[in-house]
Amino acid sequence: MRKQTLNGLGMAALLLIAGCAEGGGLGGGANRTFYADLQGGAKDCTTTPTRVSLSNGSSTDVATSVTNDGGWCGISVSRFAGPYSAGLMVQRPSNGKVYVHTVGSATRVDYTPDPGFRGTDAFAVKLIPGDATMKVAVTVKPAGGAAPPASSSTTAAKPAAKK
Amino acid sequence: MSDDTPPANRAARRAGRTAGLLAAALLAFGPGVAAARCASVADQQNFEVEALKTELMVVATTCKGGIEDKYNAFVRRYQPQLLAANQGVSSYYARRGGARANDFFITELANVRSNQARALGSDFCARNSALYDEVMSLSGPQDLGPYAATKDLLSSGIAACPSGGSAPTTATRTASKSKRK
Repeated sequence: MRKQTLNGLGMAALLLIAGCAEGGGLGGGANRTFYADLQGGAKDCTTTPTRVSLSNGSSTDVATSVTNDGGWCGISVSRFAGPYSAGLMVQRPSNGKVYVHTVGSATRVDYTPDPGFRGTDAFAVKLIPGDATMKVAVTVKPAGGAAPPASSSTTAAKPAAKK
Repeated sequence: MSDDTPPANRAARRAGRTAGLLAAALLAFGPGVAAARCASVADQQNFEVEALKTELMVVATTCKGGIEDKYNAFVRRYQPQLLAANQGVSSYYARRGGARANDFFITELANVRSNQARALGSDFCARNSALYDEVMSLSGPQDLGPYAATKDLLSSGIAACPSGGSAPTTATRTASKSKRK
């Protein structure tokens, strides 16, 4: 086995950034919203239901619609007004990527379609602790298209600004 | 090539072949043109776990506050899974590009993650050190792969299975049933 120590690969590159790391510590991310997590969202991103609430032992279906302009479309979920500990991939999307992370006091599940993809996709994640599962059906619209907005949904996790 | 070819021409052809091979290698293993996903879910997961390990190492070497101890605890807890992922990635490159391509990927992965850290600036440690809380909260080592799959660490210049083909059509992996704490 390759030696699993900090003296391994890429140390020279890592040392370059070591100097700017004052003050960061474990747990520092809780309840903070970082600038990076608000950047790069899709301009048009809607989800149904508007407010997603999960419960242990059951699976919750969510429908999402996103225009494929390179940005993510996020679904925020929380547990006792706080974030989940982590997410586990249950079903991978076929035409995009999923990113589960803490944003402020919630867990946000971001879906980003592959460049140029249009059509439907689906994925599922389990949130821990517990075993609440969220199954997401995604409709990806082409950027610049004239697809009508979904009538029964509202904007979800709209970013403050795009990259 | 015939034996009566002048040496200068042979050298030129050899140089041309070398340049062609280099170009092919760049296309195959260069981060910017790599395929987004592996054809095999097992390969994809190996790359994702390897990327997670690298990200945690970047956090440990960059941030203060005893995080090196956290990194060592992470390695101890998930050693069999880390070993399997490492061997899986090496095996992938043994089939596709050899040890040099493997080394190139490992180096590029560290560079990309480091560049991402630098891009986050002073937010990096506060934001990304939470990964340790997350990964150590998993119910067991069997959850490491499904967890790594949700972290999107193979983007922004590096991808799993460069030259590896299309996305998996049966890209489903069931996470293990974790018991409630």
